[in-house]
Amino acid sequence: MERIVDARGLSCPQPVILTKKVMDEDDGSLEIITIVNQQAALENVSKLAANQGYQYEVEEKDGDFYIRMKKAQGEGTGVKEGKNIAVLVKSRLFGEGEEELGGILMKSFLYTLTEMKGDIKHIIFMNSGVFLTCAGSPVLEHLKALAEEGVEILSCGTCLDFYNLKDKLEVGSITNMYAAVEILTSAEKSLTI
Amino acid sequence: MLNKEMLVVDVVEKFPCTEEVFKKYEEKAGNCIMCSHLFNTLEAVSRDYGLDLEQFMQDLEQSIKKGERVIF
Repeated sequence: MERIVDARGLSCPQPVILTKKVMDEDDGSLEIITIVNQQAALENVSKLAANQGYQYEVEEKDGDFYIRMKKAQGEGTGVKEGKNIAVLVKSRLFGEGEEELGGILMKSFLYTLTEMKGDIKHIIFMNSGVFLTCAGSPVLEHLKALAEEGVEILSCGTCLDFYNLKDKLEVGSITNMYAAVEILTSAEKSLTI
Repeated sequence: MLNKEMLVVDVVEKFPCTEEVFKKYEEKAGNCIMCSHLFNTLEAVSRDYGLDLEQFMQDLEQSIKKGERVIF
């Protein structure tokens, strides 16, 4: 069944609030189409869809954006291809052991993720993992490539503050524990590194 | 009622009356808070725009106490 939320001309946060109300009623059978005509609304509704575990596609028609959203229910549902995997990186090194090896493995891991097109939706950096998203990181190139592919790169704000890195963030945006837990628990799969 | 870890979107969804407070603070922030920081915490908003977090939260709570309808 299709539900249309015509949010054209409405200012933030109304397009998101109206879309979320329909999502709250959705038992997984709805295809929600939100129509907006402002870039900020498009970005926020898309973000809401990703946060709530929806697959979405955007179509532009005559200056209006049609955001088609369908709850992700795993394989075989006819929903847009690609899994919804969230990755939690809680250290700047991969595994325990020699620091040099840990750095090499982390670089290799993040490069490998760039090859998994469409499957990774979020990468969340916590604790010393936030060093990887900041100036001087040896993996910025890979993270920027992932961001360009639509992967949401998120760094813990408390961690950036703790390490005094807030002004050095180079890729992605800042998140908090609440949002991180929501992403990790709504993902089809989550990996912790 | 509110805590600094709450997201802007959750605050305005539960307490629509707070939209006015966010709009008021847009003048200080120089940006549309509900456009750019809808999925950020109140703490992140105050940090990113150099707002006084305590005063910001007090203003939000005051608007809620004024008796606006709460939507759950």
